[in-house]
Amino acid sequence: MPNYNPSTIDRIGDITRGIHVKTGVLQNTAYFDHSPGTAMPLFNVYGRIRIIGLNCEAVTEFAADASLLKWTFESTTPVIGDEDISAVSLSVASIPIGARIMWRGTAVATAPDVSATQASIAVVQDFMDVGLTGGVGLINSVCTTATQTSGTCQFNLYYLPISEGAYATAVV
Amino acid sequence: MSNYSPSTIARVGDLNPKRGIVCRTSTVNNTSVLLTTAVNIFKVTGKIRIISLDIEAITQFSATASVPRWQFVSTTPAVALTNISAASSTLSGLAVGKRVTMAGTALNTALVIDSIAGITVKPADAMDIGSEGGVLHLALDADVAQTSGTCVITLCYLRLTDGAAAEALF
Repeated sequence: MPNYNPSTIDRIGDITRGIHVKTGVLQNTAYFDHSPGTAMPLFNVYGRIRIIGLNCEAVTEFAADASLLKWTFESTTPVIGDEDISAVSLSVASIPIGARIMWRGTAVATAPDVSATQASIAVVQDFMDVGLTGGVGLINSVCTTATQTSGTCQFNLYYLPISEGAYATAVV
Repeated sequence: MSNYSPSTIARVGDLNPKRGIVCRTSTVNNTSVLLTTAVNIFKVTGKIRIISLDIEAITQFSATASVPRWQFVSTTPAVALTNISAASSTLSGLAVGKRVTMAGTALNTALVIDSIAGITVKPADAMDIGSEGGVLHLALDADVAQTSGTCVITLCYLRLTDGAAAEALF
């Protein structure tokens, strides 16, 4: 069994599961606010990338509010508008620490999974390309139905570049 | 979280089997690649697995009813032009950022046109093409020529035989 140091394990992870970009720890009151339910920018996308994974993890337990979450992609250069890259999830009420809302990527109308524990089943196998060659865009989250009144979360993006020089960064 | 340079990010993509090595054309005029007869776009040496193969509109396409399909023509061994997809629906006026993707499911499966610019779902299947020690070209035949517009054509692949590789001809 190899005896890798942590940085080597990190590099292997980047290669096998895509490059990981994550937001800071965010307040649910801001990022799961269904009123007005505007798109909340999470990740900048420069050029065209291939999304391998996209999820939201509960850093502290969510409030017992029946919020639903979806993700969108918005091309800002050129301006194309905000378009769904998933349907809304089921309710995320009271999901515990470590539970995740997982984008599936099968189609733009596919609902994310909501795990009830830290164990996620049926791990995502599909991918989706977003962004334009030479363009700039945003991956956003949108909350509907109910606002979370407490809890914190963190969003994770795993990606590969497709167009020359493409990459992603966290907005928050 | 790693803070990689762009060239390292690109290498990470090369090593991941959900993308593989990217071979892309420069931004080319549609009048050069979407014609009434087959135009060679990529040269393939050996055998590769196509993970994704698409045409992206960099500027809006002309209002001409081009219906491209992918073909291959092999020089070693000699094999005449053969379809590896069915034609797409018309690309007349295709908007900036929309992509036309090979599904890979069967040799007569039509190319898929994005419904939303800048968002492309995973192709249904991968396709292996080429042969040990062989040389072929991947070609586009649009049946109806485009008269304006530009595009980038992107091939993501894995190599399956020693020395296998793809090269863009534009």
